[in-house]
Amino acid sequence: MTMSIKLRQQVMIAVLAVGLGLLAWGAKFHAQPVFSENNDKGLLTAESKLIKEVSVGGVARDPYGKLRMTYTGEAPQSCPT
Amino acid sequence: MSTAKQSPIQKVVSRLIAWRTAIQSLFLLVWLDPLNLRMHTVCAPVFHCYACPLATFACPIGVIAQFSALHLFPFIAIGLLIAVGALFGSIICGWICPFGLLQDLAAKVPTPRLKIPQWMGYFRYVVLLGAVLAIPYFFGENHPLFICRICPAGGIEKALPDIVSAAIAGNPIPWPNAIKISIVLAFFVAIFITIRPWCRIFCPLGAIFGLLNRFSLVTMDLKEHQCTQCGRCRTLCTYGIQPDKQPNDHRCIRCLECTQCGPKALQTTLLFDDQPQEENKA
Repeated sequence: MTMSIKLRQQVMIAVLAVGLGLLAWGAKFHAQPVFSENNDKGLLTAESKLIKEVSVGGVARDPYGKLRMTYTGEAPQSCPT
Repeated sequence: MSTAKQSPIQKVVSRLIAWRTAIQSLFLLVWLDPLNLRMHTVCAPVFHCYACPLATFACPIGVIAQFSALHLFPFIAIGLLIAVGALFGSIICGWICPFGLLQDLAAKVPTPRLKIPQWMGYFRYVVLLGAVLAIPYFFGENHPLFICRICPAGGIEKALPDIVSAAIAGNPIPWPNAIKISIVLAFFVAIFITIRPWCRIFCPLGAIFGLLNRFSLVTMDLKEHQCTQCGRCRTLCTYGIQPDKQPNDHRCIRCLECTQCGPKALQTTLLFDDQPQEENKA
């Protein structure tokens, strides 16, 4: 398969734009309602906070499909590793 | 023998190649959290387990798998990998990834090395689609093939330190399961009998960056009129790639050793330099 430099440049710019767009959207706007362990009060949680929570097994889907904290107080250390 | 005029970036690269291991080691200061920052709200574009006591950032592959298990789209992790891949391609693998450094150090031990067939590089995409995306999505994080459960980085960077610290403290030793122990042992054997086995056969992060090699800003360029087809680049490449045929092969980790060939026909350039030629025929 032959690919011209111009096409590669265009693809690179498009891919970079998509990457930066996703990154900006996730960092700035993406949030999910996460319910605390024992009650039904959902709190909008930013994706960056979710990243930290999933890394310790701090969030799970409950049987009703809601994102729910798995702990109160000190964070667990229960990631699959 | 005439040599090609070097691109500005290649002049820098030529000086740095001898220092690649030192540069990889210096980046450990970024990944191993010497300042105890624990910035786990941020992903790093390298393969380093966030469960490790010495991890500054979150592992993007672990985050993608965990988000997949939660049926969420990981905008930050995927956006970061795509953006970094578009800029640098797999230079990340060859120059800054700590898991790559571990394997490179083992590769310095003079032992007989097995050759890995080229087609095995495609297995990385099976790992990416299966263990990182599909299995977490359909079966959740408890499935035995969930990436973190089979990842040797987790075994080495989390399980081993836990065992050692428990043994030192005189506490009961938290043995990992038999699968994890087997994977870690197999990994340690493999890095001494072949070069970068994880990167070349299994690494889902390398699969993403490798896929973007052809389109990345920092790219490899073959000056065909300078190439004498001496085959020196193939000898210099320890990964069994044919840089003169496909300088931007998806399996290349961009150690850039091939740019040291006599005629300097292979060069690192920027995609927007005047110099890059048309992509070679596959």
